[in-house]
Amino acid sequence: MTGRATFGELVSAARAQLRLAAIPPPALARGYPPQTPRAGQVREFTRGMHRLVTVMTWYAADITATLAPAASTRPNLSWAWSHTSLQAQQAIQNAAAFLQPPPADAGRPGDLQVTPAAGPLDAAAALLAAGHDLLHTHHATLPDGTRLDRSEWAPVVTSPPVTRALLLELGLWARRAAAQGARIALPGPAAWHGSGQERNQLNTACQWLWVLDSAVQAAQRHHPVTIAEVGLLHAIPVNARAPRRIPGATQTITSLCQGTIDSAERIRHAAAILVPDPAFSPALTAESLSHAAACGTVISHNCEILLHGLAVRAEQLRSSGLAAGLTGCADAAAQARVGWLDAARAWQRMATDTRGTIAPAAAECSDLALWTGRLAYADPSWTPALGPAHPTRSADTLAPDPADLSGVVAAVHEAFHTLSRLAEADHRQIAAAAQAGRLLVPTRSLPDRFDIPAPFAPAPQDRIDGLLTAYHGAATRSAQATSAIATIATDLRAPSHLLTIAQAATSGGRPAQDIGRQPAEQADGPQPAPEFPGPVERLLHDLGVTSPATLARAATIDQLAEHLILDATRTLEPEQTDLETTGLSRSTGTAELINHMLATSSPRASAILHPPIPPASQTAGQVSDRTVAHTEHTGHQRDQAPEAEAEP
Amino acid sequence: MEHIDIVRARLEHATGLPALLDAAYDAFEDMLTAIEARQDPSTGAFAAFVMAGAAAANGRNAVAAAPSLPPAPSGDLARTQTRPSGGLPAEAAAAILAALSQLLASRLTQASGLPAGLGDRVACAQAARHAASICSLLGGMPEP
Repeated sequence: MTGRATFGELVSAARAQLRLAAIPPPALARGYPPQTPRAGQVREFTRGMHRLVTVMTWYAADITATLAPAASTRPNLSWAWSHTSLQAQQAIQNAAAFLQPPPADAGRPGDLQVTPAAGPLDAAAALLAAGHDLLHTHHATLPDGTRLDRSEWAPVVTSPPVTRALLLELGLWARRAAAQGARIALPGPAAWHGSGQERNQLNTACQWLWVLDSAVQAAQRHHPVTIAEVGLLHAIPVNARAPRRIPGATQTITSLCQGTIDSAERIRHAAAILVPDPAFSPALTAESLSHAAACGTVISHNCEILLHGLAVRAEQLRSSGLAAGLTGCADAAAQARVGWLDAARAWQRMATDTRGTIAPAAAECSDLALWTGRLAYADPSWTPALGPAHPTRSADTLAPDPADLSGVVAAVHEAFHTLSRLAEADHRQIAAAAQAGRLLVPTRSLPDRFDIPAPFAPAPQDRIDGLLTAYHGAATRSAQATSAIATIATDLRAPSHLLTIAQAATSGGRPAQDIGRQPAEQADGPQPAPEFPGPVERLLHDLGVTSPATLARAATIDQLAEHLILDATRTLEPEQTDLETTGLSRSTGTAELINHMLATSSPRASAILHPPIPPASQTAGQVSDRTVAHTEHTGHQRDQAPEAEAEP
Repeated sequence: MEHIDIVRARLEHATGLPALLDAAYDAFEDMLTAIEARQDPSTGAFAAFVMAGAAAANGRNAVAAAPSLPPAPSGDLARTQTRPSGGLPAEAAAAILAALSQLLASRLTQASGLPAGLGDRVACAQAARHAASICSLLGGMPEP
């Protein structure tokens, strides 16, 4: 939808870094002198993991803030994800508790010195911190904690569907990080150098990351986040608009479409965010509103011409169904034009108590009229002013290639989406201004029986009603045109189809059409096969066994062992199950087995884990209230030291 | 459009600020009626007439705010808003309206420089700007 940096770009780069995270330091260290000492590799990786997990806790807090309160009002889907958000937040806090923050690491995770051992993790943490910042550009927080929307994307960012998609992402990051960390922590060919305690702590943190992922996957199985919702999350741009510009005389169709989209977005921002207070602002004037209404009429008219042109082009390309759809859109655009003209004419009998100011949204409407006009007409220097005859652009030059249709459809879709929002916003403004007694009429326009010794008089109610009715009509008809074009945009996979998904996300529904309604596969493809073999299978791998039959038997043995442990755990008395994760993972064999169970996302597996005993050095401020509660419950294990493992 | 000629004559011969404002108010009102009658989407002049309509209404409102505008003469000016418009083609009508708005802009610009009160000067300047806008939209060349 825009040419700006998006959340998806940052996330994709972070994912790539997380794939690199387990490459041994010597391979990464080239060009990064001095190389990390061998003995400190796990420690340094743990530092990187701590920075990554810290950033993930920011996301978890945001997710819980949105999803958790929703549970009380909407059961079913929202309850499931709300519960998952709390589980995820607890799991990430548990993971963080096992990753000792290094004393020198006082800085923010986004401001990192990349070091060889933790380089990819640090890079991922920095990218995800930037992503977190990007999402937060859409809101401002007042000193009293009130959150204000700063863009039209703000409601999307905090919408439940997008927040659920973000939680799905969080699960993916946790899984990737856990797999890499555990591979490094446990003995084997991929293990790095570090003390047994360091590796044990890192492995336990990874187990909690798997618990997070497991909870998310369980929610995804029952109430899936869709591909479209993940796509919407990834499409969220940084909150910065394209600069205001007007078209030159040598623009291509592509650049005219982009200019139209940018201009439309700027108007929506101005109409939604830069709103004058209708009760007293001098920026609310009849001059401004009537100008916007006139521009709305011209924009609708230009879009109607464009849609007719596209319909002709679709017919030329032997796409009769598309041609019929576009003709229907053109008819809807004509209706919107009638609605806007009614609004413009209603102002011809009205005034306001202030004059001489044009609001930002109204001023920018002139630009959109110009951009759409340059697209619709053949004259590259077209303006609304009367001049030589204005032939419309021929259909084949509007969309020379079939693929070009979607670009023009997207531009028209954005323009009508903007008109729809503008009409709604102006209707609200006018209603409030009327309530405040700011709508007037020239006294001369009143019949003689009115004896008012002033140039303006309060507007009679019938004129106010007429004005509001006209705007209601413009809003309704613009929305109908938007809806009609949205259908075409979705069919053509035009970039603007995200507008429909965003609208559905913020209104609590889902798009009527099927696009993107398939469940997302953990955001980046099908669920991979378990990245962790069980201990028996791993041992055979280490021995160089490659026979599929033998490895399959080993995997079966590992699974039987896991089932045996899980079944045994269920039969234990409550006081016997009060074991800490580090205790369960004290030996390499059990650690591998638990890792394998968690990595396969067995919902039963996470039941054997219990919240951690934070390390003694953990400060009170780094432990959440919920963790404190668990600590008090299992505090008798605080003094148990994890058994040290031998160096690999 | 014959009424436009009468308004034009009044504008040309108006002496004194009140008379000029009175003629200007009627000129904007008459232009508004004529413009609205030609807002036909099947013609290439549709955008120009739509934008000109908004400018004419705003110009009229600016004049209405001038302190020196005299009260409406007896005869109920509200009735004059529905005068019949002529059957001229859009381009010909645009040329007549552009010429009238050019004259209007010129007279109001002159008036904004007269030693009148601030309210009158501001009203004349704002109305002149709207008249110039109409002139441009309808293919005329407003005086600088």
